[in-house]
Amino acid sequence: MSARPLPLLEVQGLTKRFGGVTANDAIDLELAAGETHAVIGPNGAGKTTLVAQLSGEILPSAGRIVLGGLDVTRMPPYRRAARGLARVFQVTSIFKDFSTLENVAIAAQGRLSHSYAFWKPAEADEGLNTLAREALRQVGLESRWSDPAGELSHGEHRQLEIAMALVRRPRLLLLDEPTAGMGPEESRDFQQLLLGLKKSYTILLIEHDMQVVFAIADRITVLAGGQVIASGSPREVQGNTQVREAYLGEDFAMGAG
Amino acid sequence: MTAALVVEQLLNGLQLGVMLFLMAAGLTLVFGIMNFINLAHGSFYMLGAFFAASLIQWSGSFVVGLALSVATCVLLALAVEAIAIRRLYARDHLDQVLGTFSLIFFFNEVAASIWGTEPQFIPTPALLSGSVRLLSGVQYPVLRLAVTAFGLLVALALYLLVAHTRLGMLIRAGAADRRMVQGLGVNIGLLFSFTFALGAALAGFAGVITGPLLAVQVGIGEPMLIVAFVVVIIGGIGSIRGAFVAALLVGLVDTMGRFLLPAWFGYALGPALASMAIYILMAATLLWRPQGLFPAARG
Amino acid sequence: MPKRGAQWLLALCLLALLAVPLTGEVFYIRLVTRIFVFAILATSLNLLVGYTGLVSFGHAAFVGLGAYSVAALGLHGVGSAWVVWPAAILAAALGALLIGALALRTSGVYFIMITLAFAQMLYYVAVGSARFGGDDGVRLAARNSLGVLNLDKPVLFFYVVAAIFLAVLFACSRVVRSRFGRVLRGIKDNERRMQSLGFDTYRYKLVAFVLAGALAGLGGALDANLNAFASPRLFHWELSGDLLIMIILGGLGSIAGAPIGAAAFIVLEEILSSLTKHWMAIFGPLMLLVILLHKGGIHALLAGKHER
Repeated sequence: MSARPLPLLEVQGLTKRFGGVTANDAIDLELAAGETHAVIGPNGAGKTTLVAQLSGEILPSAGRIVLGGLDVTRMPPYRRAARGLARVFQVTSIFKDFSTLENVAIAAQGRLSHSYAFWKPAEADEGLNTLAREALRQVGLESRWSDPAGELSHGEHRQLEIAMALVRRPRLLLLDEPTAGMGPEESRDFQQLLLGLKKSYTILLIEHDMQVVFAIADRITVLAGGQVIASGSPREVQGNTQVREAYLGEDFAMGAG
Repeated sequence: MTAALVVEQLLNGLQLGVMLFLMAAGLTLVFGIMNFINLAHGSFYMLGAFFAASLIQWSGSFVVGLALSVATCVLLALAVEAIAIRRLYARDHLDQVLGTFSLIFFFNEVAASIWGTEPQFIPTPALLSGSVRLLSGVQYPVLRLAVTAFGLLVALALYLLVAHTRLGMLIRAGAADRRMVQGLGVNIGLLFSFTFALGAALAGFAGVITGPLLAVQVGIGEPMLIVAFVVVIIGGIGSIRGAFVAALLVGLVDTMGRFLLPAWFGYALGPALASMAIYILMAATLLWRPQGLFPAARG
Repeated sequence: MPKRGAQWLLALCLLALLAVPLTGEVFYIRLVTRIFVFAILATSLNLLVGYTGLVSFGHAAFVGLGAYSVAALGLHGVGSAWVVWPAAILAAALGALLIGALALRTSGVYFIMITLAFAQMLYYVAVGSARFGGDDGVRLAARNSLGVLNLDKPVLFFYVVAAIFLAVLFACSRVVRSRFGRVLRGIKDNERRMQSLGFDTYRYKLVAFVLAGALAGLGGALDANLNAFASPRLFHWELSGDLLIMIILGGLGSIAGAPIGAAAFIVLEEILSSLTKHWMAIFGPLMLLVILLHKGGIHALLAGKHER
């Protein structure tokens, strides 16, 4: 019997109560390094709360979150980010007054042990600039490097967000409904991008678009009513009657396969 | 240090607390409902007192003067809201702070032009002069008791308005979730004007009734305003209940502090500590509860 | 006006100001010295407001701490600028550390009100302190001495202050473009995002707050020297408000904005107060108009930028 490698992310009994409402109820989740794991569920299932708890924006009522063997349950967002968690926000959250390049450069700067450097101009820092340009190239935005980020299109914002996450060489990429608001063609392009990322990154994907989910996920966890109702390979989840019931009335287009 | 003296100071603290509540209630409502920070709030306190000084003299009656002064404050507030304040609602807090700060200059200068820089005095109404024996050895000025009582009455009226009327329900809803109230089709412009005028009325009222106790001069609004801010911070922005509890707390701490601290720490250190007492209280509250004692839900 | 043209115009104005001592008119020398002092103060506050997005309404606290450090040391016979000015900076920095550590746990309106409250607290302490003359403040016997330089001479003092101003301006321009400055600008743009990128934003804000406070302390010490007088008014929120207006007037988005605003404010104040006794009644609404229309201040006007 061989020892199982330590999972990169372990969520144990994660619960969040808001007054009388239990938004997340004893959620268990496990991600191995290199895995692409999708979390799906109908509206109101508790996905948003789960993401907020994982990123550290809200503290759980009960349960644990362990990232890379370290208990991060009570850590504020900036410390989880420093431990390798990169979050791509559902509603784009970039620095609109900075240039596209500077957005990524500042993300790269976050990897430095500290930024208490008061003299040399940041924009002349070639180390950061090179990393930033490379990340922009990976997502296909390198031509827009000098444009103010606020002028980019919605889809380009998405790409920028991904570049900002990638430049940090994250251990865990947390994608929060990345295809929200995308048309079919944009979603297909995005799917291609994700397929490329899948090879080098561990991804936790919160998603609504089933096409994307079934195309790239190695394993899927299904939330409904704040609880995990199913977890397993895409095939297992597709065949699960509870899952079908939970989605009754919703647009549950099963992906090919 | 006698028991009588302590009782007297406690009553003074209570009176200050009630006055602070009247100031803070307006501030916290305006912030809670309109997300608007108004530094010129203290000006209504000052103007209320000035109006009263003139109107009481003109009418010969304290009550008539009081009513007319508050009415004038309301009219002035409505005018100021329509001309200047309204344009700042959509701006960020920096602009609101500076915009209302500029208004203080204007009001102070206009008041100085009309009433001069010498202090005005509002005579104590005959009915409220003299002192009364509360307990053995405790003689307390009727005027101060009346001010406290009057203030509590208004506080009660405000409570009834906010808790038991439809308008009050809108106010509470607006303080908790402004956008929701707008979505319900309520005439937001009217609600804002009303709230602003209500705040000014409360501040003006406080100015009038403390008039007989203190000199009426240009600039008396600002010290009250600062302490009212401390009350709002401690009580929690948007919360009337918080403002009431915090106001009494601050009134008592400030009064008792100025009374006890010099006695305990001598006259070198005591007064300085006394000046700092309520701010230390504020700092302590912030460490324990950064959102204040009774934070209203923010929308 | 194109940006290049604006820079030349500003440089010319600066040269003109630096040449004022040649006129020999003490009144104008003092006026321009005052402009430089306030330019330092406004620049220090601009680091917080314009670059970090922290609206502090209590910056006067650190100006007062700097000024009263000069007074306190003066009362004990210490008059050397080499000792007194660093002491003023240190006192202000310490005050900023204490106030900032508490105030920065809040944000938005709370932060504005708390910084205001703490500064006023210091004001009341100063007013209540008999040792320092209470309401009347403290007169200094003489200005501090800078080695062999006798700063009681207006022209000499003028150039020392001007040199300090230029040094502060240059240092701040480096800081805002540095990696640290970039973090501050990021915090102003989107603090939540900065946190998700791994930055401990509280700590960076605190460092900025202390830095700004230290510079304000230096300005306060220079003001005390200029007037040979330390008054509680230097703690008063009116000063805090004036500094904020200077920044808006000059333009938030640039380092040059604060000094421009300080100069414009002081000149305007001088002109208006010489016209009428009731100049405040005009000044108030005028400032309100500036607030309503500012769109980037004077600097934006010059540089032809269109920002709100």
